[in-house]
Amino acid sequence: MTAKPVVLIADDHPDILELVSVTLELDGYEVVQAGNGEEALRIASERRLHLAVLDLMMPGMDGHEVTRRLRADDPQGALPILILSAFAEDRQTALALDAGADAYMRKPFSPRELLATAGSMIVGRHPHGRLAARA
Amino acid sequence: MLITTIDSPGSSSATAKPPRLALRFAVYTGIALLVVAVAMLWVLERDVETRAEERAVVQTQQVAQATLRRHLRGADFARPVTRERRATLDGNFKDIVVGGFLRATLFNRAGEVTYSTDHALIGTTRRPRTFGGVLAGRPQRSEEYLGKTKVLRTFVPVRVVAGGRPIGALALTQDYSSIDVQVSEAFRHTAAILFVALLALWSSLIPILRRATAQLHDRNRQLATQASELEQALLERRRAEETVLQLAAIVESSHDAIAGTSRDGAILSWNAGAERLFGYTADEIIGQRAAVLVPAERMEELITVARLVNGGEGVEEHDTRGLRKDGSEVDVSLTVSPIFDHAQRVAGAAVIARDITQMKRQQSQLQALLAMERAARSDAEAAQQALETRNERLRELDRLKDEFISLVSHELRTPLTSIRGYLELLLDGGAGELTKDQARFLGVVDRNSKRLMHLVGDLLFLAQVEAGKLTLELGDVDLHDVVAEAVEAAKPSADERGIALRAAIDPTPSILGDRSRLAQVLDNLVSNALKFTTSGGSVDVRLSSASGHAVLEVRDTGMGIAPGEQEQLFERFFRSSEATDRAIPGTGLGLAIVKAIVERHEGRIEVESATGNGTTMRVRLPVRAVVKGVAA
Repeated sequence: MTAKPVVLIADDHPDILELVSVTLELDGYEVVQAGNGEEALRIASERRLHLAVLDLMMPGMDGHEVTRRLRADDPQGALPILILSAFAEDRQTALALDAGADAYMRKPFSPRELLATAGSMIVGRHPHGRLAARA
Repeated sequence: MLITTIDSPGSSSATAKPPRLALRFAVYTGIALLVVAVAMLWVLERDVETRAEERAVVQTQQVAQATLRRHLRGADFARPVTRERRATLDGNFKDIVVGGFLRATLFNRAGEVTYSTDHALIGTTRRPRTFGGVLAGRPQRSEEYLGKTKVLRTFVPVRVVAGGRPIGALALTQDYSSIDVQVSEAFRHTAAILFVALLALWSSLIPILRRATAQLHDRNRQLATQASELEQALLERRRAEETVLQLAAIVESSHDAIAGTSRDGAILSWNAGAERLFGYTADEIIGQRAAVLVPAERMEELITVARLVNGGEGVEEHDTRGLRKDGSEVDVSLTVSPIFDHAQRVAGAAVIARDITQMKRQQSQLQALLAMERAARSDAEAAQQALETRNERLRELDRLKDEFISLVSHELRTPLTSIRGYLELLLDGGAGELTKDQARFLGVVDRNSKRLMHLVGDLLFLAQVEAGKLTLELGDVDLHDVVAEAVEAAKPSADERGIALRAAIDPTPSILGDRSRLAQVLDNLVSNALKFTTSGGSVDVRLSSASGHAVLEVRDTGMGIAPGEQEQLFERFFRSSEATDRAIPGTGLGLAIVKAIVERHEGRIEVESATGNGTTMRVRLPVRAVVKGVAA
């Protein structure tokens, strides 16, 4: 059995942090939580990650800035970044994708949809992932 | 031009005249001398002739007295001589030597020929005209023609005693040519001498003549020059006079006041303009001082101007005030120029005063207008400033509003995220199997949280529309698919409520639009139709095309909309009385959103309905050229 894909989740709302974690863990991911942007960057520098799921509006460093910094250290785009935000405007989506995010998902989200998106993003880069194996 | 026509004839004559003049003089004097010569010759000829004739008379007398006295007897003059005596006398007269002698005749006092060398004449009586004179003692002569021969006949009285009464006359007839020979000879000599003398005189005259004509010519030339100078002077004077007249007319007709003053300021001339401006007539003002036209407080100016003018300078368009006859003052623009005499001394001044009252008034009006304009402009600028400030504030407010909407929407979505997320996890069995009641209760939560989510979505959408921030992702939209999908999606709900949902799709060209927004339109219309239609009714969706438009129709057999409410139908939060009465769920935002999307596509939406008789919503969307090769 291969090691679980490691997913970083950054969100300032504990309820949502928990919801995303539970959803992903139920589907067999290892989850690392961050309550703000700085913490997310620290974890990203310490751990080898397979996916980053970032909220946009966080106190201190926001999701756009975290995305930019992650991309600055990873110009090849090895780490897929999924933005999960309650901002529904197209403008916010465009800004996030400009900063280097790979996908944008609006809150409220369907856990099933999240799993499908996350799976496609990781499997796209890791052909030996669990879902790929199952498919 | 005038000058050249005057000059040219004089100059040409000056060069052509002298030789002609001299020649003419020579010819004239020649002719005169010739006439004199001819006259003198004529006189001379006469004189010579007379003397020759007189000599002939003398000869005849001598013949009568000296030669014949001895031979003639008184009886020879009494009656025609006898034959014997005739022969004797023939012999006596044969010896008479007189040039050209032709005939000798003796007359008695009665005129009877007593003897003649021409014997045929003896006894005839001939009394020539001059016979009386002969008998009175005066010898007579006459020229006559004897046949064709010109002859000179000389009568001399014959006396017996010297100094006594003539007893008859002796006539000698001579051939005239003998006298002519003498005459012509004498004449030739005299004529030759005369001719030479005259020629000498004439030739001696020529140089004098030449000098005289040259002098005459010079004199003529001088006179011509003087005449032309005089003419020129006259012309100039006439021109000067014309100029003066013209200037006077200009001065007189000028609207400006024009006056002339002497050096000490006395007014010398005064035009009609001045009469009008100052009110004085020329008669009243001429001779007065210019100072009467100047207000008391402006005398200093007058003195300054006078000083300038007397110094040979002038004043140009100096704005000042003049004093009228009636005591009122007038704004004038003053121009004063010095007038110089022949010695270039200042003799006086030309004064021009222009009435600038009107101009001053206009100027002040203009100033007032300019001031008003400045005030208006500064007002406008202030207003502009205020407007800009307000616009700035409005933009700021707009931005704040956008931000506010964005934040509110975000803050509403965040708790909804937890509700919806956890609910789904529960319903999916993420926390273990649910009992039937638990599932039913969670279903209610699920439905309502969904409504809440839609409400938040609709509000945000309308806020964006209002802020003008609704952007379309344009593309080639095949409305067939959109209709089919919407009907497909609504089918379960229709089936559940026992409503027949049907779709009729005509071939329709693609349109340029935002596919997801158009799908939203159709979803809203279909779900509305289903909501207001009771079980057993039907909802028909129809896609067709007409005159460049795609036409979408959603017809239901529902309760219909009261005519009075149809206009408000597309307002936000409007809910029909039926919907409220029957507690049909809804926010009143659906049709407002539909209308916004349709209008953003430059289309139209219309409603056809009667209470209790169903409703038809019709959307017309313009077909555009979106597929290559297909015209708009």
